Amino acid sequence: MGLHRFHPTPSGRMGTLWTLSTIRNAALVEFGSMGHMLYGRATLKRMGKNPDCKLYSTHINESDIAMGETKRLTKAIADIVLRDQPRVIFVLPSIIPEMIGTDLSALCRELQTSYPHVRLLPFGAGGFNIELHRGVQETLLLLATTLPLAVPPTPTPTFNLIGSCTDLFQFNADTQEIVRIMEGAFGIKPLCIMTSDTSVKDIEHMGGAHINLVIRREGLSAACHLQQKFGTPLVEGRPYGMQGTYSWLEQIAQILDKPINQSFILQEQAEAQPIMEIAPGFFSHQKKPVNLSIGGHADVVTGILTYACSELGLTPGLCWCDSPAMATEDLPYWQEAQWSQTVTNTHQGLLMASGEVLTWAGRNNLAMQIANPSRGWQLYPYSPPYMGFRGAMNLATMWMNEVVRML
Amino acid sequence: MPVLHDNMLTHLKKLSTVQSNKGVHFLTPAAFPGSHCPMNAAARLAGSIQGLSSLVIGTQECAYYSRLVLRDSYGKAGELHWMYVLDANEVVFGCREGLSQALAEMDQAGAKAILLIVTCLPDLIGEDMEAIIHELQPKLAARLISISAPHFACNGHPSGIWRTLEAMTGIMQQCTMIPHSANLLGLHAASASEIPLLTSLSASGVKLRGLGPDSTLDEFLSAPDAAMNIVLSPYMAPLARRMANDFNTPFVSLHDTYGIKDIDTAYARIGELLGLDFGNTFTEVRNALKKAEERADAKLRGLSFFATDISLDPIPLSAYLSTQGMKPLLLHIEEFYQEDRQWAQAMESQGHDPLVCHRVNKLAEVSAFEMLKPAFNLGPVPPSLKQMIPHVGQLHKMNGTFGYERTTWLLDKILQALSTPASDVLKEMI
Repeated sequence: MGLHRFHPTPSGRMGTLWTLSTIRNAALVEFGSMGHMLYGRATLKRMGKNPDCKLYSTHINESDIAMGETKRLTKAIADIVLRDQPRVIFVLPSIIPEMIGTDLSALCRELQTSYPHVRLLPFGAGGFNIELHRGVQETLLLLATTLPLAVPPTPTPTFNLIGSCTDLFQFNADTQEIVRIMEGAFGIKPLCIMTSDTSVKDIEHMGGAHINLVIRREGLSAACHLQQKFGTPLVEGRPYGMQGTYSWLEQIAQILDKPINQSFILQEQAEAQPIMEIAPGFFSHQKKPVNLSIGGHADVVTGILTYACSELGLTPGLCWCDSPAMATEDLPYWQEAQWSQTVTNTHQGLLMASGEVLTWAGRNNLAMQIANPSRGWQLYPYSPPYMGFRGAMNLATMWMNEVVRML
Repeated sequence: MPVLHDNMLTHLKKLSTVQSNKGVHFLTPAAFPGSHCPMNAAARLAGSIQGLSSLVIGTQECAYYSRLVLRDSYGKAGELHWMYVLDANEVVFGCREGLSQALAEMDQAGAKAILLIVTCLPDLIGEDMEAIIHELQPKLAARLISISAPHFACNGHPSGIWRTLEAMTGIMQQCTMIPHSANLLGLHAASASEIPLLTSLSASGVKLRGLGPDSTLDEFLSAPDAAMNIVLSPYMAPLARRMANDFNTPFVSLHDTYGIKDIDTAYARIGELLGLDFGNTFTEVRNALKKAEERADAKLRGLSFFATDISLDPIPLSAYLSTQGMKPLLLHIEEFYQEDRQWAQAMESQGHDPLVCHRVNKLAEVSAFEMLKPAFNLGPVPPSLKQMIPHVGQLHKMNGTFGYERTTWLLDKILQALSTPASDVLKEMI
């Protein structure tokens, strides 16, 4: 880790907290200093989500640390059960219990007998070398392995969306677009949007879905487990661009053995036509090829870049991802030392990255943001998406205007 | 299913038995959302003192979330607000080497003075920051100061502020004393124009320097040139004590002084230290307070109360209200200061020994009100009891003000709250 001038990569513990914080009918209690939960809550609000899960902290003091005392957690759980009667209480360690080796799993097992109607679910991802993406992955997997009940498939087809979590920039808008497209193309509704818009009950019933749509690689292990347990097929990928989105729908159609509603597709194409008619020509007629430099989550970067290059004729500029575990030869992981030296205010071409990178590079147009951390507050719930047909229109228009702005 | 004890307040201590933050327990078990940590307060303060750089040392959480208050890595006056995140190896073997390199890098980048904010994890593993500073300081141009800011050592955030301010003493310069001068600790000079004591001091030619969050590093460094310190905030009291020790700068505290006699004594001492005779300067405001006390006498005597406002310094305030016949039942303590013992004893001598607590969930504390039945509250009350318990809000407005006027303002506020319809409801209930 070492010295940071900019936000470090969030920890696995933060990933776990952010992923669980949106689940309704649940409470979350962190065994540790209360400051962390306060700031986690503030960050979630800035990311665009008022936590639906009730977020509690036990706090901890010197005596608790010295004596390995866990009474605070026991009392907090008793209080939460009496006050809120949640279906599930997620129990998270903070850094201090991780350091002193408090066994939360054993403690939850011990306490569980006192609360037969409330599930106590301890979470991990607390180690010092575990970063955000693994925290999200482990959390999605643990939810998928513990909560879903043995339910039959829903009478009419439904889908689960796995991996829509608060840490992904624009998660609200992108999820709404996928739900809209699935409704339009197949007439099917989501059973569980895991986890940005879901409840304990939704997760319990997610085994009834006819297909799992996995929109980030961290959700794959959860989806594979569900496939094994319920036989639910899965489609992995983030639909970007007009053609990209259609190809994604074709994969779903094949698995569901259900035709795509062509009148919906024609309607979408007609709506996008004024933009799609102009955009490729606009970019090809610039004096120099229009470069798109892009950094963020590997799946987001790959998806947006593929759309930009294959459908609109942009050329790839600098590309990097924000997790060493996802790095490839074509998409390296860049730490702040690399991006801050390479992406400066002399950088040419389009740039999409976190709000922090954009600000560092002197780009005032924060609409080009595709990753956290953000400089602003993502409070407006109806922002245009990046994914899907409307996302394709939004991105094309945004890039054209950015080129005009930079001329 | 375990059930909470019927008398949920038995876990709280009486003020007389409390010696430090350690004795202040949560009013209710689970924090929702709870209090800020000292790191947050120190980082916010570091971001507001022009010229002071900072290094938050801790986990990814501490570093990431410190950006909520320290948005910019590079300040307008060349400040650097950077972070040092310990890796798994450093958690076991310490971060001395990495930290030394980090500080050297900040030094090369032009930091003038660096505040090291040591959060929970490095504090827990016992990383000796003083030793690191001692070793590195001779090699660096940047002046180094550090504060211990673990949240497990306290409930609230104030230690992040007072420790930072106190640590500033470590880099202050020995200066020639300017005889007719004073530092106002906790108030910016620009906002001093309407306060009678300060108007009078200015009119007498006393050079006043406000030292607070809006001050510059240079203003802090040259603070020892003042003839005295006037303390206007509890956050500043440790700084004043340390300056008295290190630079022989005498101080007078006004932040915890509410009673007429105490204010008389404090003002007289200020006059003495600055060689001034205030004469009848404060007769009018002093008489106004006297009249307010007379007006309040019948209504406040015997009135039991809670003090739950988190912006209050409740122990000295409650000690004063005890002298007016009010009965403190329960106090929210954000930070237990060294001086609080004397005020606790003063309260005891009036026959009062309230419970002390740290509030962490306003939705859960109704039962505390129902159990102890305060007739009045300094601070917010649960929504369901709003119509029944007269209360005064927005008490943060008292911060930074002092003297006769502040106490008059407070008494008037209490009387005003008691004359609202809510108090009529209470009377009917009684």
